[in-house]
Amino acid sequence: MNTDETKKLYKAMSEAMELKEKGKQLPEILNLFPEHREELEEMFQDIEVLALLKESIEPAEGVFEKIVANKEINRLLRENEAKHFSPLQSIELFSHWLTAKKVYVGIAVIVLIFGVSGFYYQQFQEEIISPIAEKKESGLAANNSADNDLAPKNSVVLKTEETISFKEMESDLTNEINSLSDDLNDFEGFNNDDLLENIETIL
Amino acid sequence: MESEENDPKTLMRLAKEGDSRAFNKLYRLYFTPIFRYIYFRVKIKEVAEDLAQEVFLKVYRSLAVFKMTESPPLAYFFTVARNTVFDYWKKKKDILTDDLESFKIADKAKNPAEITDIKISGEIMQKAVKKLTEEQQEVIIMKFISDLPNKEIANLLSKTEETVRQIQCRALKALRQELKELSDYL
Repeated sequence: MNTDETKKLYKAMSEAMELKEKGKQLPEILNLFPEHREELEEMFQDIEVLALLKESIEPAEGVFEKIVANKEINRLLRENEAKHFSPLQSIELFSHWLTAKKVYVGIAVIVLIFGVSGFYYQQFQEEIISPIAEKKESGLAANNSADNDLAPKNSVVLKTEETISFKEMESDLTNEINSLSDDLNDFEGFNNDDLLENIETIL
Repeated sequence: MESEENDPKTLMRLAKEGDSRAFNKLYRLYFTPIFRYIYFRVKIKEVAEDLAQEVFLKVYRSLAVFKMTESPPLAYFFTVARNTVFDYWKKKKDILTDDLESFKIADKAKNPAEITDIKISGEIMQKAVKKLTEEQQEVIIMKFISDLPNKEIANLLSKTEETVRQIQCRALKALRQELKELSDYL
């Protein structure tokens, strides 16, 4: 049988099988392919033997019940019913998911880390730094009333230590600079000659 | 048309969610085709029963990672069954036998003569199938012993339906040749 004939035969076999699966009767099918009638008859005989063979292959009686009664399967079924998923299955599921979604998981982890750190930083500011600053400020107010002259300088130092916003620091430093500038102006306006004369008179 | 509660995909989804009754139903639904496939590959009934049991255990253990696809769950069971048979072969290369007695025909025929005929035909057929190439054996067993549609066979073997049909035709032609030779020999 040459290649073309073989191809034609395979085509006929394939079409004949399809027709049989669709429920067409064997004689009708064979009439459709008169040139391959003999080969197709043999093919359907073989398929019939295979079908008989299939029917003959049955598990031994009671084997299904034996398997259903299998301790390991029952244990697994009970565990699964009780927990929905066993921890092992959950880990398997998670690791499988991780493998399948590597990139997304990477991105999600980074976003999560940023989110969590942002949240904790905000909480840290609200719950720890702000109360301390307020406490120090109220302490400073008490000190200021006791020592008015030193208060501005101390307040700058203390606030810088604890603290607080850069704006406040900037404003404190500006005030301090202004105060020093005033002192310097006073010093420059001072009459040196008069001072020397007074000293000489005292001496 | 299968009812919703007996639809394999629904059963598989329920089993995945922890419904053991759904898995039991799948078990009953798929046990025979899986058993037949394995039996035809290993030829020893007791081994086939053990391996079929192993298949269901493996599927059950992997339910958490099982992904629902277009294919019916049977395709997944068959993939596990094929791998289980391959693993068995790797371990027990020498256990396969040509013993005609390993074929035990069920007494479904009407009279003793018919039983004998079927038995002889079955035994010869089993021998003939074994002479086919590995790929041809897989296709013939899946198609005619486990009743899988071509689409599922194609899916399982990672081939197109057209290729599967071609393999089937070649396998059937080769099978005919083998049967003739064996009949002459006997």
